Amino acid sequence: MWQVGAGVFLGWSLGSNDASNVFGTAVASRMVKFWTAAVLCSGFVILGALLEGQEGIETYRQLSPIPLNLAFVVALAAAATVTLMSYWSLPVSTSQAVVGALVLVGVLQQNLDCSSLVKVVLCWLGTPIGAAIVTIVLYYTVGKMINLVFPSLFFWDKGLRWSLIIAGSYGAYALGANNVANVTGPFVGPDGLSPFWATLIGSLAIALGVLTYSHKVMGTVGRNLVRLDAYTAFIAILAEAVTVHVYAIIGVPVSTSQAIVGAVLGIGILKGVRTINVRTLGRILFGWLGTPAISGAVAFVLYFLFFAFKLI
Amino acid sequence: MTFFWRKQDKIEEMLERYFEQCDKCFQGFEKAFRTFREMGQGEAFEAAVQSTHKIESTADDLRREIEHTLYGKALLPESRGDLLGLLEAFDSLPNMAETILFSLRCQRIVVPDLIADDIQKLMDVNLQAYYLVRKAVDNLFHNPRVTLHSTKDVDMKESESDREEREVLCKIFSSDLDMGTKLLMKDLVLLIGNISDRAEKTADRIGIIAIKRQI
Repeated sequence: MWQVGAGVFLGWSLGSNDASNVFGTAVASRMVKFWTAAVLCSGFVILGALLEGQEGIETYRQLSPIPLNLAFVVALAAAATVTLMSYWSLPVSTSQAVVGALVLVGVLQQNLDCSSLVKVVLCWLGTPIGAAIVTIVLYYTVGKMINLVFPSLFFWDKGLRWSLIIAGSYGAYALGANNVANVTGPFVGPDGLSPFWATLIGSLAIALGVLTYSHKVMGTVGRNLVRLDAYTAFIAILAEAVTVHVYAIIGVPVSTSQAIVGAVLGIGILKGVRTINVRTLGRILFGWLGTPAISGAVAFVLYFLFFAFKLI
Repeated sequence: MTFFWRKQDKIEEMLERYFEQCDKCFQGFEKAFRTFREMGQGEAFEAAVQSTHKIESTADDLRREIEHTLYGKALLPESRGDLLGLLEAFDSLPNMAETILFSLRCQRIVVPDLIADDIQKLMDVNLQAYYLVRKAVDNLFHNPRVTLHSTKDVDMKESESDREEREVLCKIFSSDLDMGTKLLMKDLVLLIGNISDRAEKTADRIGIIAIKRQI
């Protein structure tokens, strides 16, 4: 059971990095105080994981389970990668870090299931595209409602602040519901954790990461997204939350980072393709390739260390 | 709830006080100008100028207090920017009123009978422009649906002021007044006309703020 420690570490690193996807904009532009966001985010992550996180855990159970020691290697490699990225204030996808390590272990064990990998990569494409479509739909639907109300400056301000808090909390709920499986899913089994304990431990670890180390990346995402106005920021966060929640209901763990990037691209499409910063997009795509690569490299080192000590 | 939005409620209350102070400033300005017309330069006019100056200073202090509260991260960043811009534009109106009174006093201006009624008419049009832009501000905060109609009214009043200005200037320069008086009167006309110009600029800003809150 000591192997679960790596899952806790992964949960902590996920919390420290992915909280930025749901509250980064609001915190960095001082719309919401950091501690308000961190407490709300932690609470809703735990709630989401406990109420709806078990679907994702079930998905992990249905996949061919890996031994606990290998799960440890995968979780530790992913956690180390994400923590490094958080240290550099870079928002990255925990799912991609996990997949990068899993693929490397699969290659070394010579049991890599390419069809599953294709499905995962399709999800990596489906999440941002889905989030972009949800963004466009929400932008017009919510916009029509706002035009009907015709808010005054102060009503608009109050309404948007509340909306950002509610959408952020919903995003945190979806994050917990969807991503807890990434953290402790591989440790569920007859020799490991029960689904309930996996969701509880995983969600507490994520919450701890949010409370203790999410400030740096929140600032980065917020500053990068500050070019969005409050309304488009709210729509992006809401679209991300809806997309990730839908995947949580289906039981597919996906990346909140990919969802928020898709949502922001959706706003870019609405405002005119020329408004999309191609350089930033290039960096994000590079990150999507770099994160699994770094995680795979860390897993490679850990794998041979475990192999040398005959733990695998 | 009040606790949660206390900074915003404070801003709303301070803005209310600021605009009331600007109204008082314009009432003082109107009174001072009437005194100047009826009694010319003298103690009564001087007292009215001082009174208007004090009210304008109080409005300035309030504006600075609002700006500091806004810089202290009250409201969303875009609302902050909009309000700061609105304050900057609106503040030029009481400043202009004060400048006109100081010009009348320092330059010991005497309006010739020939154009006295025209100057008063021009002043009335410009005062109306102020009260219209003030109404536009009220609508922006309390009745946004009609804000754009209010800003159009300001625009129309500014055009009316421009026409009046041109007519008075033509009358001044086709008269037998001496060149010094002509130039002084020209400056006075342009100064008074500045009120509606600034009111129009403020109204433009108000219109943009209202439009920005439509999707």
